[in-house]
Amino acid sequence: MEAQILLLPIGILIIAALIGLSKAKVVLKIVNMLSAVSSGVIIYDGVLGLKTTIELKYNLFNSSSFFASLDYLVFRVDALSAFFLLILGILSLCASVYGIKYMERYFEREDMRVYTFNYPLFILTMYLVVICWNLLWFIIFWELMTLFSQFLVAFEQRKEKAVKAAFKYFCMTKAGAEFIVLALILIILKATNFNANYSEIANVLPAYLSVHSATLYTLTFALLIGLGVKAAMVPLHSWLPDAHPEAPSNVSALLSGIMIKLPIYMMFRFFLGFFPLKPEIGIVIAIFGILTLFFSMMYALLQKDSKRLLAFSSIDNIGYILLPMGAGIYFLANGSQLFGGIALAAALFHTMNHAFFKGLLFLTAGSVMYETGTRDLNYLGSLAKKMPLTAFTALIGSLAIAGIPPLNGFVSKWMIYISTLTSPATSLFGIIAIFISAVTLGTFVKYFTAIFTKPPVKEINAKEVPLLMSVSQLLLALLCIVFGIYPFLPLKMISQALGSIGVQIHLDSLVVYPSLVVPKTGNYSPIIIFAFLLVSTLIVLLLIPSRGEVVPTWKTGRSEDLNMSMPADAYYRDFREVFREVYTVGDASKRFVQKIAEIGGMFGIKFEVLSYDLNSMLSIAMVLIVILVAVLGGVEL
Amino acid sequence: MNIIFIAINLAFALIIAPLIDGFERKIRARLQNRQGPSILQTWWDLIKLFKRPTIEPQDSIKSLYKLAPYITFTSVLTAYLIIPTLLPASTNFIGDLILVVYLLGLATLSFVIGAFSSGNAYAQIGSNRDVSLFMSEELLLAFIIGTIAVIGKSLSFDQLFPLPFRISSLLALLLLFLVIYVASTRLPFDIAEAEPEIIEGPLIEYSGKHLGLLKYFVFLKRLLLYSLILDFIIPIQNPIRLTCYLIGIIILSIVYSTFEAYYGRFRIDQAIRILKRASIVALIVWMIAVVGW
Amino acid sequence: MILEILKSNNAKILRHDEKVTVALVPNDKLRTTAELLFKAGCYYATGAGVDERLLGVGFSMYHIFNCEVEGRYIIIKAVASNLKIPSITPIISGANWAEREVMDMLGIFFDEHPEPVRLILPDDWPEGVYPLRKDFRYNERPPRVEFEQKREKKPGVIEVPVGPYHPALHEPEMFELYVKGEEIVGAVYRGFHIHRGMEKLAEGRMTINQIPFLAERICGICGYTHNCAYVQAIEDAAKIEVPERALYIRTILLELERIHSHMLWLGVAFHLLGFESGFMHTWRIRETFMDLAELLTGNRKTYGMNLIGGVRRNIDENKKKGLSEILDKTKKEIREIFDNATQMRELINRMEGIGVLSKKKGREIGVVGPTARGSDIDTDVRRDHPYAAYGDLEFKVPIYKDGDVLSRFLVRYEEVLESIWLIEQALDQLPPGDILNEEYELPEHTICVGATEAPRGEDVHFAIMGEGNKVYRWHPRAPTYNNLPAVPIMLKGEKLADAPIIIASIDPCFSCTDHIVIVDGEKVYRCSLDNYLGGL
Repeated sequence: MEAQILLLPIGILIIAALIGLSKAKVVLKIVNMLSAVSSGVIIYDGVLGLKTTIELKYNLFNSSSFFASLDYLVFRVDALSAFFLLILGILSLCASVYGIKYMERYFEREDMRVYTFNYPLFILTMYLVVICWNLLWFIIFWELMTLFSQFLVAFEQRKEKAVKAAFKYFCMTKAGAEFIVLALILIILKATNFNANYSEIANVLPAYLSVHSATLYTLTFALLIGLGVKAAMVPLHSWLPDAHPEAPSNVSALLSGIMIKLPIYMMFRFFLGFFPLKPEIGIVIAIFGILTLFFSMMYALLQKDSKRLLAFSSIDNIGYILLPMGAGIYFLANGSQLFGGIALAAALFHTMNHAFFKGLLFLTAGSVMYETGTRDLNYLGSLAKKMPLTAFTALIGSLAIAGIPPLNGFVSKWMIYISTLTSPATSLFGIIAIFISAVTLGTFVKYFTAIFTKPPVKEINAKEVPLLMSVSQLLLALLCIVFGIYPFLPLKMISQALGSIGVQIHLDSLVVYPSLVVPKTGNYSPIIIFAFLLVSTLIVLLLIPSRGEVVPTWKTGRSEDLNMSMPADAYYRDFREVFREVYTVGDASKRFVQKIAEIGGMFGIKFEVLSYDLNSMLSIAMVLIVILVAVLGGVEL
Repeated sequence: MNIIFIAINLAFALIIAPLIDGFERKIRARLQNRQGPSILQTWWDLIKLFKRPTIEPQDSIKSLYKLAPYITFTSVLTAYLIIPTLLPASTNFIGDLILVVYLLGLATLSFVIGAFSSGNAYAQIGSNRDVSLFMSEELLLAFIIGTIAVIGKSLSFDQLFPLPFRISSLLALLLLFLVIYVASTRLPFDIAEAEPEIIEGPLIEYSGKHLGLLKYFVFLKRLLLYSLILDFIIPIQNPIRLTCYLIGIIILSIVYSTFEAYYGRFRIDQAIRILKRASIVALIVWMIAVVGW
Repeated sequence: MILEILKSNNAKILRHDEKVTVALVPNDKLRTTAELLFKAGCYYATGAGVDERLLGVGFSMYHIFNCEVEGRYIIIKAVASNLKIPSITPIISGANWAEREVMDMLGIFFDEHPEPVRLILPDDWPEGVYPLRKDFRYNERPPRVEFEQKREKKPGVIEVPVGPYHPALHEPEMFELYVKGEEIVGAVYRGFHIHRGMEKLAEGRMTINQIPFLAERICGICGYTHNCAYVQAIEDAAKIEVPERALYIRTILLELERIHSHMLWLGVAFHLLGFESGFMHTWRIRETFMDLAELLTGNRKTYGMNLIGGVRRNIDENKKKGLSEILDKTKKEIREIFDNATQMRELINRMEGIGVLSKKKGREIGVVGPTARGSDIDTDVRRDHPYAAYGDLEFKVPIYKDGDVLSRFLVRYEEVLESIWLIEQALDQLPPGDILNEEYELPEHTICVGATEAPRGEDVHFAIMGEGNKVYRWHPRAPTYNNLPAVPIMLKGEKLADAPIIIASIDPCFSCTDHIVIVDGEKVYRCSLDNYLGGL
């Protein structure tokens, strides 16, 4: 009976979506609250799933042949799904609570039904993607997730930018999904004899693929592209920096925090669960990881728009997840259980960390927008005086993302370096990751100081955001701190999650309380570091207390009101100039991708604009599913 | 035992770091045909600064501005838990090379955030330079860390002190020598705090106790980096380690201050370009290490 | 040729001898005259307004041109009708400051001046009070007026204030730099913070032989050259024969001062580039030159040596010997330091190609001294208008073509060596005889001009003799006055890190530039060089 609780979020979210069809103002509150409640249930499901595997099975149709694999709708939560469910639950809880107040700003301007209808469905489809245990159902939920999220991206329909971004997002991820579909068809037709159940596949596929290596590489290629587009892997990332900033901030938090992690989830399933471990696949993934983190962070350094900067940094963090995942596969394939386990654990840990701090940062960017109505880093400034709580949480988020000890970002980055640096084959990856980590620090110094500390050009009217919004930010900030100081808890969950796909990490040897110890390679004790930092700072504060009077800022003897605000595009100019080769290469590839996108764009724009109309939205969703089913059915002939 | 050793190391660092600066000032003065102040002068300066009140600029974000010097100071102090100075403390349960690098990152970060919070144009420009320099310095440092990790097959100091004698370790240490020079904010790399150009940049608004803490931080950071490079060279469980260590510190001070006396300040782009070129050299050194020389 | 130009414009020649030509030009011909003179190769040195109502003329404006080709100064005088004179700034932009200064100080207005706003007087100075008019008493203090500050923040850049108190400027003066990242996208200069009212003081209460000591105090570094320029102006007016020996002594002191000033500047340049050891060593050597000055004059600086008609102290054999000994020693040391410095790539890199001033721009602004010579402008008062003993001595004028900071650096370095060579020659050839000629008669209302090559460039003193041992009008113009407008041009597009060395590269002497003013109050109107330079 316990398993039935898996259905509870589905029910709540569907009700929420139905309520969301109404135009009444109160609907917004109800929908967000219902989403929050269901998120709570999702968290509970996740906790439950970590303890035991939950399974639900429904027999929907009774057809033969190809559709046989669609007959059974199986939901199953193993430790890996549970881990992702936890992230999804926590993040959507924060985003929903945040949305109650935050979305009110849009009442005047936008049709709220686009949000109230799509938002619960978006969470629902993400939930379903994580819990479903059948490849065919997975692709259906996957496509629906893309569909509903793109309506949310285009929420501000009057902004041409938003509509274009949503279109680009839809086209690219849709094209990517076709690759996944192809891979699935290949798997189902060739290997598993029309069986799409994960357990079945995991039994049959590795043996089959170890023999048919051509199929293995084809599948790897298709899945890397298909999932890579969704995960915004460089060079398939170009939709993300456009799409994420345009969505309402709590949706951006979900998009960046969890949605682009679902491809990671599927990669874990495929590359570790279903495929035989091959070192070359690992290296290829790691190389993509390095490309992703390197280029995206160098570009994040340039941004003048707060949410765009965050979006680029999201891509960067996907790199930080792909890199250890690839390295882990490489190590496991080469028989190095220790480093392989640590690298994969690092990948999962970073997935979680990124969800928390990036979700947090998007929420703070949203709070700033809520108060000031702008994302322009040139214009903003000095908000720490007026929004101290938001500034504090943004600082925690920035520190965490820059990997500063003793916050959570450092633990996962430390694990990445420890696992990669010492082996000659992966050492270069670790080196670049360290450098990019420094660039991340630079980027977030820019993000934080440009919004919160530098004097603004003009006085900005702002006050602290309502409690409901701060609570979400504080919760995420707290998680960043707690999981940084006490990483043993998430590591335990991660070891369970990895265990469920057959990777054993020996937690006993890794955690030597109060330290994390990788034998003969590295060690880090977050508790001691944190305690020493705290105590010594307090001692110094006591010994050398600072108390002083307020004096005018010194302007070399001038009394006039000067513009003392550093423009956002002026940050690190010389650094960018010296490293301009990076941007030359990046821009060239961008132009190339744009050419391709242009050709694709010619077709669909009119059709796409039409689809934002609410009434036609559902019908298009229907048509899409029908087409999908038809495609799947057509293969049988 | 270890904890006592760590405590002694910390106390040693706190007392000696300003003296080393005093010593370097003396050397520089001699090279410039000056008498120079007494070796204790840096200590007198610090004591005087600690007695002075602080100020808060009008445009500053007060909490960040006031807290930053303390965090900067303690983060470099924390690194002393890990790197043995006077006595060889085994510290493999606290942290490793990566942690030291990131603690220095934390120091830089809180330093620049404090400076940015002061609201002064010069402080912003100076911090901007500081971060630019930090990023390019980190590229070189990353290669050195990679090289060292490949040579020692570890990032833990237990395994790394001392480095095995190989061509690549020698080259890596030479590059580390350069990074330390850059990181210790000396001429020609004191671009962020250039006095005639941007009036000490990030430090411009800080005074009294805050300024004292930040100066103290720089001295501690220098000693920490000296100790790091010396630990890589001197065998850790050697009876004459202490003597070697003290002599090493003196030699490093003399060499670094001589360099400092004979250089003009770089412009920020020149400095970054130099670090970038050095990084390419470091890439080659890394390759040598991978090959196994 | 000059005479033809003047005559063709109906000018009335007031004075014409080998050194100076003075001509009264009718107002409608003023511009054409100025244009023709400029095209004939005379550059604008300075302008001075005079309240000549006591002489029965009214207000008049004297434009002084330096005609290097003929080795003479040409002064064209224009008399204001109804307090109005046509402006020559549209033709010669170098006249901008001079005309605005006259506007501020005397209330003469210039028709069609492109930027008729205050240059010198502060914002809180009352309208309609003109301090250099003869009916304004030298010790009068007008009441302060309230004014509104009209200033808008410039978006998209940081407005970096450099000054009034900035460690790179050793005197209170102000630049405002518009900075994007590290790049300077614009620069504005505000000056004239230092107000000593020297002109008024000299005219109001000093006798002719007291003014040399006042003139020496215009500047703490190049005071003696101001002193000489003034004394030469009076000697020119009174046609005084100065003893040969006195002229040689003046030459020695002038060159000593030049060496001292250049050594000081080179030290400052090293300091600004962060080369502290170079700074220390250069200033150590500079110390010897101060000792030398003490040996010769009794003072380390501000020699107090000149009187009209000669000098006050002799150089005996002992001093001569001591001088040449020390010179020999320091010459070697100087070479050593600079040979080392010029081999330091990073030091040279910081100066090469930085702060470029083209020859054409430089001529239009009328830059002088090492700033001009670094930009391929071949000008040197010592050679073009020989004074003191320079006519008898042999020396080279170093010229560099690149117009960057390095060129100015090298010009100064070579000049140090040339100056040592000049002192050695002068000591060798030091003629016997008196050192002071006290038998002279002072003429009345003679217009005269004296010029010297100060360490920073051409230093011009314009004077009109008054009645009874007084000057009617004395207007000194320091070289920095002409060089400063070039700085914003040099700054544009450079890095902020280079701003101090670029500002310093003209060797600015703000006190020299500002001495002429009576300014009270702390807020000075900003003169927008952007506009000024836009017209160039």
